[in-house]
Formats: sequence, structure tokens, C-alpha cells
Amino acid sequence: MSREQHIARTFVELADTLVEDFDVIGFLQQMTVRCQELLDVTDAAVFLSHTGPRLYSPAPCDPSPALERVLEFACGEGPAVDAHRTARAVDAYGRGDARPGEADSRWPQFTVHLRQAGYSLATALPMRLRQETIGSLLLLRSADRPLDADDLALAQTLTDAATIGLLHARTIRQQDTVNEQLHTALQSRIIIEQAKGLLAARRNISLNQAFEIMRRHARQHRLLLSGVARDIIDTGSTLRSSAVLPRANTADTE
Amino acid sequence: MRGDMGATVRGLLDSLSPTADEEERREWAVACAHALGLGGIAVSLGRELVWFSDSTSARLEDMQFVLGQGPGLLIEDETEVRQVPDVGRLLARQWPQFAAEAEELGIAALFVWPVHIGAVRTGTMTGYRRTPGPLTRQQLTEGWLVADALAEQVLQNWPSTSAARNGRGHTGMVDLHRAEVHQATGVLSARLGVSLAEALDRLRSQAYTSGRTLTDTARDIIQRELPR
Repeated sequence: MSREQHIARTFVELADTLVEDFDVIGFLQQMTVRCQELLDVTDAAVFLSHTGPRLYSPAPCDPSPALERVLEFACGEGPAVDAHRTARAVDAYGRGDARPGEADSRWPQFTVHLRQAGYSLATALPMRLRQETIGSLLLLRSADRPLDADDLALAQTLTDAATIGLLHARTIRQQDTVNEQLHTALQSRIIIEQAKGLLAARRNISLNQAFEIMRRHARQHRLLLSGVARDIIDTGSTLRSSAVLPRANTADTE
Repeated sequence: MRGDMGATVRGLLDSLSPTADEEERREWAVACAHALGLGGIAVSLGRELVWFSDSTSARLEDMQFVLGQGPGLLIEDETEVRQVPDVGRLLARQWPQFAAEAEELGIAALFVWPVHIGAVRTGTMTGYRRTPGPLTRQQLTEGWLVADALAEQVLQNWPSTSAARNGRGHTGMVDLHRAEVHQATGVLSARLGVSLAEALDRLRSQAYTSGRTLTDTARDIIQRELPR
């Protein structure tokens, strides 16, 4: 597939949210994967605003411990929080800082962990539609130069498309506000984490392996990840194969 | 927070401090109730009333437990809000005693949100109104955010609020968004052969007795019990 085709397909995916069985977790996960594929970035993470001034990361992936620390601190301070607050793109320099000291003093903890994880640049883009800002997309790079203008423009357009998709997903379910979407995303994430722990302990495997099994199972049987998690909790650790999705699941086609 | 009657639910959620004392929490509950278009709200965990905005709300919760009647006792599906838009008409046959006493308190409509932490049902948030009729969609969904915020407070403050203030116990921010806590809950549930709800209780009491944070305790459990 050419890059143009890949980009085009991604936009179609991001628009494909007006369906009964829309899964917000799968959608956001897919978005970060597409960012890594299409943009010159090492890692990408979506942050949503739920309650309180902190953001949270709804994607149930198990990143490396170093990245995990970066994401953890990014919820409380740094470009992701500022991009959400100001509705503008915000940069932070890590390793090889061109302007040392600046990001350090603004976001001391975030900057330390960004550097320790070996990233040179963090760019956050707001997830906004007109007056509503629902979170931000954080792009992390190891390369020494900043994102070029084309990549940056594409990233913001992807983010805008995802925001529109996310905000529109609720219309089919007659939701007046994004609140229920945020509530569902948070609670689904928690159920997935609980199920990962349960499955890992039952089978004596790592959390990553447990998550991989759940993901593969969801994909193979066209189940929602949160549905698979719910089954694991309800049945102990059995993975059922009854298909609940009436359509092909486009969430995980990588 | 006094005089914040027109405050938005989002603004209120931002203002809820993890270290709020009893009186601040009550004021916060009053403001939330009003922002949701309700006369008052009360939160019960298990059968314990832990948070209420006003005496009518507290009385209502007591009545449900004393009489063994009331909509808060019947939440089975944790993803739905139970709405009783007309207490006199809808509850009179099912729970005559409860309906009569509720009407005596001047309550016309009742709404119950399940408070949960993933698959763990921790309790209910009950709101009342003095006029009949359903909630708007927005009030209904904003109620979920309040219930989420309360679930977070539950993780932080109960059952050991006063003891924790006296020195020992976990301190600082406990975050509903911390994956480790939920993962460790699952691990303990499998290892001990108990429900997720009980596993979460055990995790919290382990953190409390060791004087360490919930997140650190959860991390230890994961590292000890699972292969990398």
C-alpha cells in the first residue's frame, strides 16, 4: 500500500464511528498505531480529560517501563496537559535540548523522564472541535530534528479527524454530551486491566502476554476487547468465542 | 464553594480535592446535586452511608436499609441508571411503606447511579427531586462523571478516612486511572480465589496496614506474583 493509500484508509477508519458497536478503546488504540505508521515518530499516546485537572491515557497497551513513566507524568504536567488546556500544539525538548533549562523549569518531572526514556522531542496536539477540547495526542520522537511541517500538519489533521469521529460516535446513541463516552472509556479501561491481572495470574504469564491473548482473541472472534475482558472476569479465565459483532472489525487490522 | 449554584459539573469535578474534609465534601455534594438538577445526593457503599449533601438524602438512605425497600437496593445492571420519575405512582405498589415515607419527605422523583470501579460494584449514588419527571440526557450522563469521581474518592478515603488522617495509612493522590491498581486487583482475585470486590478490599487493607501507597502495593504484588 502506498503512503497516500495508507493515509486515505486511515481517515476512513477515523470516520467510521457511526456504528452501533463503536468501541472507544479500540478506536484510540488504532489511532496511536496509525500515527506510528504514518508519522516520523517513535511512540504516540492519546490523553483524554475526564474528571479533575489531570489527563489520563485510555489505551490499554503495556508500554516499556520507561515510556510508561513518561506517560504517567504526562498526565499531570507537560505538553499533553498544556495542549489540552490551551487548545494549541505544544513542544517539549528532551535529549539534546536546543534550549536547555526551559522545559526543565516548566515541567521538571516530565522532562527528566522524557530524557531518561531517550526521547529528544515530545509534541502534543489538542483534540478539539470548535469550542470543545477533549484531550490531546502526544507524539514522542527519538530523532534529533523536530517533526517537519508536513508531518505536523498531517498529525493535526489526523487528530482533528479522530476528535470529530469520537464526538460523532455518540450521535447514533443519542448522547447529548461526551460525558458518557468518557465514562465508558474509563470504566472499559479499568475492566480490561482487571481482566489482564486475572488472566495473567491464572495462566502464570506476564501482563503483556495476557493482553496479547485478549487482543488476539478479540480480533479472531470479532469481539470487543472490553467484552472479552468482561467474559474473563465473569467466567474466571475462559475465553469464549461467541461473536457479538455483526460486522467486520476494522479496529485491529495491522 | 458556597454560592456556586450555577457551577458546571465539570468545574465541580475539577475542584474536588482529595484532602477535602467532611464539611467541604458536604458542600461539594450540595453543589453537585444542584448542578445535576437534584435536591440532594447520597452515596452508600455496601450498606454504609458515606457521603450525603443534606438530611433528606441521609434519611432516604437510612429508610431503604431499615425497611429493606427502595430503588437503591435493586441495582443489578451496573451500566444503567435506575430512574423513578414518579415515586408516588411507580413505587406505591412495589414498596408501599417506602413510597409513603418518601412522599412524606416531599420526594417526588428518585434516581440511582451505580458507583463502580471497572467490574467492582462499590455502591450507589442516589439523588432525589421534589418535582416528578425524568432527568435530561445531560443530567444523566453528568451523573456518571460524579459517580466516577466518587468512586475515586472511595479508593482514597474509605473505610479508613479518620484513621488515615492520624498518621498511618496511605497518603497522597490515589488515581482511578492507575493501571497497576486494577491489574493487581485481578491478580489477587485469581491467587486468593476471591471476587474482584474482595480482592480490591484486600489490596487496600494491605496498603493501609503497611503504610504504603496503593500504587506501590499494587506494583509489588504484580512483581512478586507474575513472570515478566
